[in-house]
Amino acid sequence: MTSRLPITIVIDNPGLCAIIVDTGRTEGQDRGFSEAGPLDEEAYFWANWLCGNEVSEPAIECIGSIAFTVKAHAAMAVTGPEVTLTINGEEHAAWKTLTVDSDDNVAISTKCSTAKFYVAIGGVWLLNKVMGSACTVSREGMGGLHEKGQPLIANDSIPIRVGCVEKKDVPKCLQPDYASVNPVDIVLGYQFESFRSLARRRFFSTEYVVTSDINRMGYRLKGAAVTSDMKSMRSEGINFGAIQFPQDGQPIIMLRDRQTLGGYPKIGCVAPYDIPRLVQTPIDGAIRFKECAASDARTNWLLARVQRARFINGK
Amino acid sequence: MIYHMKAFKHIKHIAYAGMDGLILYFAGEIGPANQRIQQYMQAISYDKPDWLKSLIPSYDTLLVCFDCFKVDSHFVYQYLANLEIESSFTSDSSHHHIPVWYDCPQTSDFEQIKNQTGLEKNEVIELHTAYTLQVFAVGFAPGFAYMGELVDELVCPRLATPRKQVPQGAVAIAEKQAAIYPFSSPGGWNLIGLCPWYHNLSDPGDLPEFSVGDRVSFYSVNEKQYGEIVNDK
Repeated sequence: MTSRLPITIVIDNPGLCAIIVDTGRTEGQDRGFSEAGPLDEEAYFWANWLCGNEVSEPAIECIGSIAFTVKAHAAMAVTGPEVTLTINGEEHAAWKTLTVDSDDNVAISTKCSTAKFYVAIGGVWLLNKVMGSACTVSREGMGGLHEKGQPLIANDSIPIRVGCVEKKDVPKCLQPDYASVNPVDIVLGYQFESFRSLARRRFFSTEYVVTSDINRMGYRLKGAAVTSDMKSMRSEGINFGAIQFPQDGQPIIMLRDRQTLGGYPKIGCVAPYDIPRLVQTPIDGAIRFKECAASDARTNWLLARVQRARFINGK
Repeated sequence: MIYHMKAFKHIKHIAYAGMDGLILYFAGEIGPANQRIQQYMQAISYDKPDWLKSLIPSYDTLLVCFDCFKVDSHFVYQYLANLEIESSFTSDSSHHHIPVWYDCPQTSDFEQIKNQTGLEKNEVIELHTAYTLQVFAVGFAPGFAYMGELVDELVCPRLATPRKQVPQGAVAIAEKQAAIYPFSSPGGWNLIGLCPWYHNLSDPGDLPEFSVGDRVSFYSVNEKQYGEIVNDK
């Protein structure tokens, strides 16, 4: 006998692309399974925190807009850059805990049509996992609500056993600074020595723009061509944020659903704390890069984590 | 800024792979280097350090990703440099004996292979089944194992234009490598047969498990035997 699952939200309009994400796969990368996980880790983290959820609870990663109907009394939070959110036509704030009730109509949109935002609902999401994760990985046809890697579609119902939570908000100073024009930190590594100093200087002194060729596997940028002296190399493991240069010299930044192995020369990796800002840069938006020692990047990252932990623990 | 980490023991070069990763480049011939990687994988997996996030082995490299909250790259470097590696190779790697239906009409690039190598179909099959290969890497897609190295006579380039759709379970060769397509996908390798293990397989959890360092050999089956293996699954 199968018990009926508690349906908590029903999708009315999924927008450009809405998928289920969590913190990502805990295993399988050595067997070719992508890492998966949220593109904007900060926004995802805070959405779950606002709803009193476990840090790895699934949430919906949306692009541009989404509309859904709520089927139970629940806590909800929406996070992302410049979000407009209405419940039954009435405007509410993002980055704070909200309560929704049965038959409430929720509509969310972002100022930038390619911005990613996250919808969390307080409770336990009743979804099956692949490699320790419920993430939708469309490239592999795995994970997500129907476990075939498809994005959410209209009338999809998401089963969540709701819990009750206290109301919270995320202070502005802890939200990612999406408007920042500071250069993005790069930890040099991999084949960086095969890029001549002139090529390296070009990469770190000019502006690159985000192209329309962007997805969860990687972001293709456009700017001054940078080439490596490597003629050929064997495929090797690709870490999150790695910057690879195909023959055309245009950088590709490898993201959550990247393939595990690749054979293009890489100059280094974007520091993880700069990825949220990078993935939220609109098409044609400009990005600059700056060299950062691995130890400095770790210090920056730890400082941000400690700041976050202090706030969460009320110190 | 210090970028140069001193190489050690079996490692010819070590580089940063981001704030939370180090990549080791192993010295020597590809075969032994790849086995060495297996030994490192075994030693690290046995030890299970709590800072370890992931290990991604490939031909002659091992990417080690760690939790920056617990350790830094200096710590991981020291750990790897001091890792005790058995000098004798005690492998618990598997040997897969893989059935292939070479006469499958959907996977017949023998004409193309003949143009490149001069080999007749029966010669291709003979060379493909005669040698034990090694799994050098698993990636590109889940369960896609890069097996090598093929004998020189069998070496032929990838297709000039990749196919849009390669059948699930297609057995393929390109350059010095062999592989099986675990799912139907685009692909540019030369197809020579079909493996019954993948017939109508849809759950990635049911994929035959190939690990780096495993040995593989192929054997020929006819259409009837192919059907029997499918039915026995």
